[in-house]
Amino acid sequence: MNIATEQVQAHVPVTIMKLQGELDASSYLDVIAGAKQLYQAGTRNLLLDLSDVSFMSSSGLVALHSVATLMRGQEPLDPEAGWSAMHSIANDIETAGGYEAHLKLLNPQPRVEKTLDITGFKNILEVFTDKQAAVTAFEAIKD
Amino acid sequence: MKVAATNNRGYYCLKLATLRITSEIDNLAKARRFVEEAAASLTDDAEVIGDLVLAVDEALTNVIVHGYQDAAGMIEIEVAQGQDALVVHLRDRAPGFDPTRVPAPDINVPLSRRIPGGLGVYMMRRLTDELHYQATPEGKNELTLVKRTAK
Repeated sequence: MNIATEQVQAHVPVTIMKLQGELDASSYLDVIAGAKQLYQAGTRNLLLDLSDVSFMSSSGLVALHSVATLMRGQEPLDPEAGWSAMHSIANDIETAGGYEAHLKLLNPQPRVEKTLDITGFKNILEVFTDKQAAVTAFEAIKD
Repeated sequence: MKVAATNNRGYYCLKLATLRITSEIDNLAKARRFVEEAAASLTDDAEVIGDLVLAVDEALTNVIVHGYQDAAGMIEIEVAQGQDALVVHLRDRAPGFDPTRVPAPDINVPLSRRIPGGLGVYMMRRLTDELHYQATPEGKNELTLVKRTAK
């Protein structure tokens, strides 16, 4: 999986992380590591560009959940934690009060969108088809 | 070459193709392409193919990560044509777990022995029409995924 980043300025600085390739059990840890590096370098608002992601399995969902947690300034669950991680993700989806403020998604392909839909991830991660609309959706929220 | 056979459930299956991989996550992409190509020879319904490929990937990931864990092992992937359906059999020799029965988590069980479940198994169930598991007399696990091709 190829990862490229871009910084833009809207209401707030936004980092766009563009993923290219297939997001599965062999690549999902790289996405989490990439997001962690960005956070450590100062990124607080992240847009994941999924336009070139041709495949995503539940490992990808674990990555998305971990990245959302990172962007909130929290330590994500160890991806090797297996069941407890899954349980926590399911719980977060059930109890979610709205969209994540610091992580949004851009242009998932239809198959990937279907996965986000059936697993309830579309209820916690806002999906955009337009890059401009996506970056301006990040607000200067006082945490 | 197509080989006709009836499986032990008594329904008609025409074996199309078989792939054997070692239990490494880097082999998932190869397995996906194999299933995709075999399925595409039977249907041009992209949604059906996509659902099946994803379901098989989820199942294989479970076998590799939770079944074999760090041990090297062989996994056999067989794609067959059923009655208005695509059938995939996954066979492995990992210590058995039945992904069709996902129990409540036992917090006293060490992480390495936790039974996987959650999103992956949920997706397998949503994406397939039938899911069957059996432990064979030879000590193999066999997971069968069925995806209907007729609307």
